[in-house]
Amino acid sequence: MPELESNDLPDADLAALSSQRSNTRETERAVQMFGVLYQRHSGALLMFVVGRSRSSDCDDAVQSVWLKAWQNVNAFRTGSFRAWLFGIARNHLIDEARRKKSVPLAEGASVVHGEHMDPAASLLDEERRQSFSECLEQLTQRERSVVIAIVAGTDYSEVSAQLKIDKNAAYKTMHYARAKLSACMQRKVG
Amino acid sequence: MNLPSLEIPAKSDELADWLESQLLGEQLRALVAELMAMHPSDGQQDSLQEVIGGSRADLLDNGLGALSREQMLCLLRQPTLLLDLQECVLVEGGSYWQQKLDGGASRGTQVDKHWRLLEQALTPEPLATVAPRSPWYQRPLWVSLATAAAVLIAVFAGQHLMSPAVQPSIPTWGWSGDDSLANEMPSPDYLRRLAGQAREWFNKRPVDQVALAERIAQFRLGCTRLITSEHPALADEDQQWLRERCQMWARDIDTHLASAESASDADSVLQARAAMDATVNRLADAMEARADAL
Repeated sequence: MPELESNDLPDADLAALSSQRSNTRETERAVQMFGVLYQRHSGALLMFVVGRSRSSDCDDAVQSVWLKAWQNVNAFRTGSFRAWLFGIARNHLIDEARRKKSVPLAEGASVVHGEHMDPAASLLDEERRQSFSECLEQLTQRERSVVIAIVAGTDYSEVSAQLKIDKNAAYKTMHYARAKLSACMQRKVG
Repeated sequence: MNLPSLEIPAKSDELADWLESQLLGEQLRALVAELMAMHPSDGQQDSLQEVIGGSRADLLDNGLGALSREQMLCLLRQPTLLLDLQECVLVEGGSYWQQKLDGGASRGTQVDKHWRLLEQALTPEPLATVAPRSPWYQRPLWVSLATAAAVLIAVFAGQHLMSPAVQPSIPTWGWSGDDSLANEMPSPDYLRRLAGQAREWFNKRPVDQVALAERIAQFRLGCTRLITSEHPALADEDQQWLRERCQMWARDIDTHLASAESASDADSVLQARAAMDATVNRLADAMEARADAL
């Protein structure tokens, strides 16, 4: 029977071997097995965390999640290791958002206390949402209508018909609106 | 400043590729926030499954090209669903998505950096939950089997001889369960039930020598029970067939138990387990085939 390579082992076996650390030799092997799990799932975890946290917090969040996974890997038995890992990540990110207590918002906006937030909502970029909303308000009615219609998938022909402007005017309106929004967001969130 | 929501392609054939790059990119959070500003939620929202519907399997195998333009625009109008979609493809997606994920060069550098830091932080502290070696493991094979079989037969054949306070360590899964030999059913169902109970072997996947040897021994006890029990649900020739097969399988199981006990490293433990897996599948398949022939 061919010797089993660690890269061929299913996640459940790697997790079980990662939890065997009764002596130095076993621990070295456990780290090696955990490293295989890391290789398989690190890219996906990084994207999951990037989609739910500030870029400045990502590195720390990823490290914390992997450490928690190492500390609790003996609790993983069956099912998707990646889903289990994402559960750890989600809980960590929500806890961090709550710990921070408040979400810094753009000037003039009200402060939202993290502890009263829906857990999933705490992972959203409320600052950017608020800022973008305010920047949209600074556009003219026509500019705002064109932007929202184009982003919603309406093509320029239909937009020009709805707004009773010619197509070139629709293109120019979108161009100016884009520039204004970009400048406004640059001022608000850098 | 880059605003990803304003970069949504107008052309349908570009929308799927663009949205995939967003799901696996670094701007997803920004995209969701901007879209939320443009499409404020009124509390009513579809679930991801309601939007992608029957396209789910195709999407997981082949990417967002499986979705219609309207489905993708629906996701963009309910932007928090993009996070659900991202999680769905990351957890359940096939090789299509894994290859896309592996293709990010800058991500690779970041991942490598994280590992270097993480490896330093992994300390060699023993876990409290690691099972200590069981003293019974030190006995010769025939002593442990004979002793356990004697206890098993005593319990099943003469429960009235035992004090209610006695609690033998008899396995409760597979063929050793209390109702595993319930006889009030047709012969084919009885055999299929035995096959299903045999496959309970796969409910636990031991990876250390002690746990594997113990589990094989438990299965072997169940085999003894089948050999020594009556099976009124079966005709005489089927009972004989079952006993003969069990005796044959018992010899294979004894070999696997010896392999597990003599395993010198994790790889050989897993090899012994794989051999036991094959035997369990073989015997369960044989029972099911016999049931089908009845």
